[in-house]
Amino acid sequence: MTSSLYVDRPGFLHAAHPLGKLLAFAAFFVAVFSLEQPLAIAPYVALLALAAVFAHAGPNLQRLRALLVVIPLGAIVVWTFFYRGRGAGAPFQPSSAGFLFGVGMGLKLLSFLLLNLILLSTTRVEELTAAFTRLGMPYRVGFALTLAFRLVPLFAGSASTVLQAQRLRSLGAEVRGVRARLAQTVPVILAVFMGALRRADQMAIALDMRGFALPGRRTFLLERPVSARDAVVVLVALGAPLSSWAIRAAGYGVFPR
Amino acid sequence: MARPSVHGTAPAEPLLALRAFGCRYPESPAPALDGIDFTVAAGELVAVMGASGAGKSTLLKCLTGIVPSFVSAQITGQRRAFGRDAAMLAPGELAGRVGIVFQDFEAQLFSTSCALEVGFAPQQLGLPREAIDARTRLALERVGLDGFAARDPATLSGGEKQRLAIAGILALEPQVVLLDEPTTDIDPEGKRAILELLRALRGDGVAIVLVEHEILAAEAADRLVLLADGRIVADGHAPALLGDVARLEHCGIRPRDLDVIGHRLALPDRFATVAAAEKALRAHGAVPAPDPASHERQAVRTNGSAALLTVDDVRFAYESGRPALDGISLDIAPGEYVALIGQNGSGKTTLAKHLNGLLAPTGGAVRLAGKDLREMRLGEIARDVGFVFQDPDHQLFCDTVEEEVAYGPRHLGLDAAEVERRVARVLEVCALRDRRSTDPFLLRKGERQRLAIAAVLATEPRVLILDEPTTGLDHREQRAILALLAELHRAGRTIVVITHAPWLVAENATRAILLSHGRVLLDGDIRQLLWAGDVLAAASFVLPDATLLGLRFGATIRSPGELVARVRRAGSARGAEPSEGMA
Repeated sequence: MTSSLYVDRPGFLHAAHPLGKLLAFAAFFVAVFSLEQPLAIAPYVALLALAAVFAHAGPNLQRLRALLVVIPLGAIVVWTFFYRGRGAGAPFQPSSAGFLFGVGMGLKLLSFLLLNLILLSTTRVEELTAAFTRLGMPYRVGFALTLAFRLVPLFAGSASTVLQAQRLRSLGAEVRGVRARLAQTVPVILAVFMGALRRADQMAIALDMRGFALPGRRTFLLERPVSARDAVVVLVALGAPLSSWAIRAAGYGVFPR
Repeated sequence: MARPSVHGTAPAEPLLALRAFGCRYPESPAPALDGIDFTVAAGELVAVMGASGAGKSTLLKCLTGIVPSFVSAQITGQRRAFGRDAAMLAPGELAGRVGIVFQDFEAQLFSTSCALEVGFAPQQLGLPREAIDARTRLALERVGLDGFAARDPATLSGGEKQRLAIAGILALEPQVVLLDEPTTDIDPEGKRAILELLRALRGDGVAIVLVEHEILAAEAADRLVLLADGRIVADGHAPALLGDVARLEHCGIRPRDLDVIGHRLALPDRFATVAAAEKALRAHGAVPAPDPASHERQAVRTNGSAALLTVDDVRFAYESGRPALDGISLDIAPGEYVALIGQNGSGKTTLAKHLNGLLAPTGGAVRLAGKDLREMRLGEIARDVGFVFQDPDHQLFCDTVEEEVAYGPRHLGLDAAEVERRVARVLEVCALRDRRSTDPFLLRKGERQRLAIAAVLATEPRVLILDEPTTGLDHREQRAILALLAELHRAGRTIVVITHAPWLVAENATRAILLSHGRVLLDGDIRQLLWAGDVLAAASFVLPDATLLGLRFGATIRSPGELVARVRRAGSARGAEPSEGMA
């Protein structure tokens, strides 16, 4: 298992400046989240799906396919029953208005997942640290922010090993009932949590001993010069919120209040 | 005290020093360190050895100030660094001058490629890009990871990760290098290469403190410091202390084979090499008896019908596409004690995880008593094939030792009386009876390792697979684990052990399987394999000195004890009086 979602293959987005990609991330986020109607959001999702394929994010789409299905479906189910806007039925009754709103929310969440996948498939976390520092963020803060991206896959790997061990030691015995399942899950969470704490503690010491706390200017190996392709990324990215606002200005894209 | 430099006569100013130093962790009944006077000077390679819990890791942490800056403890005495009082010096302020490789090396890795990992520290120092690239290339090359620059550290084997952690420190070009058991997961040839590298660094004037359980470290060192119960019990010229077999064993250290042989045969001289030992033995007429007829080379069992586990042309590739197993075929019969050996990244753990269904082959099949594992559920396989993970903490999750052992039998649906019977028996066998009510995480590493075995053993699997069960343990703890495995083997259990310890393989296994680049390079009866030294060496496996010495006399020797016994037997057969110096 790799320690990050980064896909080490040459590509247009791989070579783009991380600041441009962060801007594009924010622009698409704003564009999609300012819309509500599924038909208005769908083209953006399609564009992002296409971008994910071109970004060689296929292995990550495959790896996280469950999330990509479960989260949007969850949103559709929840909003179908709990939507309280115009056209909603009685409390807890499903409604077509709620269903449509849910589909819109599901697509928004899907676009958010795709944005993350594209960014992390084409950008090393070290590049993001450099980008945050370039934006004026203190290095240690930038590093800490991106550390989450580094640690989550590691903890996931550790949890997977503990779960493997538990499955082996349970000898295939089936656990029935919510309480029994919870009772079985708690020790796993504890083992992973304790391991994570110990690891984080060790990592903090290791970082300090490798000069993390030293004052003065650092070198960033993955700093990229700005190029023409970054202009393309930024232009396409700015097109997203502009088109989204245009749709809204024309009276489409959101549900009537 | 400033001690004379090993390479010259002028006293060298210590770079790091502890004077009349003591350390006590909160709520600990005994001090972790007590009355310590320790120094390390430029160009000095100091090995620190001792049993588990003797205070070795604490010594390193106190030298750098990690204790008490990060780990709270009550400190007495003086700590000095680079000629000045370092009581108030934070560990981070030593970065660039002092590099440390931790026992838990995985926690030291946080980058997305090996090159970025090694280049992390030089980036913090603000070095120019070209200098960072040059340092990175050199450091990777020195630890034997050239060609790994673009690899994600998470995809490396344990030994490769350990090498990477060392490279990350070398790239700092520090004046002092501190290493806490830096070669536990590295193959035998790799260990020697790392120790050679440390000697080269010492030659460049770097001060090195090396904490180790293996005597190989002391052989490479100028000075050997022995710790016991937080106190220094010996501090002197390493070669002089190496011959003190009794003292080393008392400190939980496995002495050199050649020293054990010399000690037991009461030979007057120490021998540094196998060739010198051969000469000395011949001079004293101490020739081991030849192999008995029962040691004739035995064919490896290949009868599929008798096999308990059958691996049939198994291929496997991880998600990166890198092939890890490349057409492996072998049988494991009931009652065998198999050692899976091979250099780092050769596919040992991957193969072991195929034997219990944790991994499924991308080609070929694994069968348990003739049944394809893919047709069985994981839990069903686990009833017959027990797996002990390398890190015991991954498989311990109950509140007490007793509950941990009872966990498996309870899931088998056994009645309370049978569960209790198994728990009592396994705790007795694993020497954990007195720890029955203890929280597993309060046990020492060796005890946790025994508990992990006990927990699997209680389900009475037919096959027990152990991934490096002796790593990080002192010799007494290793012996306890091996005695347990030997007893299980005698009782008819099939044992499969992954290990990098040549002596463990030679002394315990009945069969060894040597893997290289995901293929089986050698597979045979253990005594048969001992003759294949060249092939083993090509795959980074170095035979123990006792074996190498035996081969010079045409005898397949599995342990120093066997060589001594054979020498005595030969002497008795000749009716010869032992020559001078022989017991």
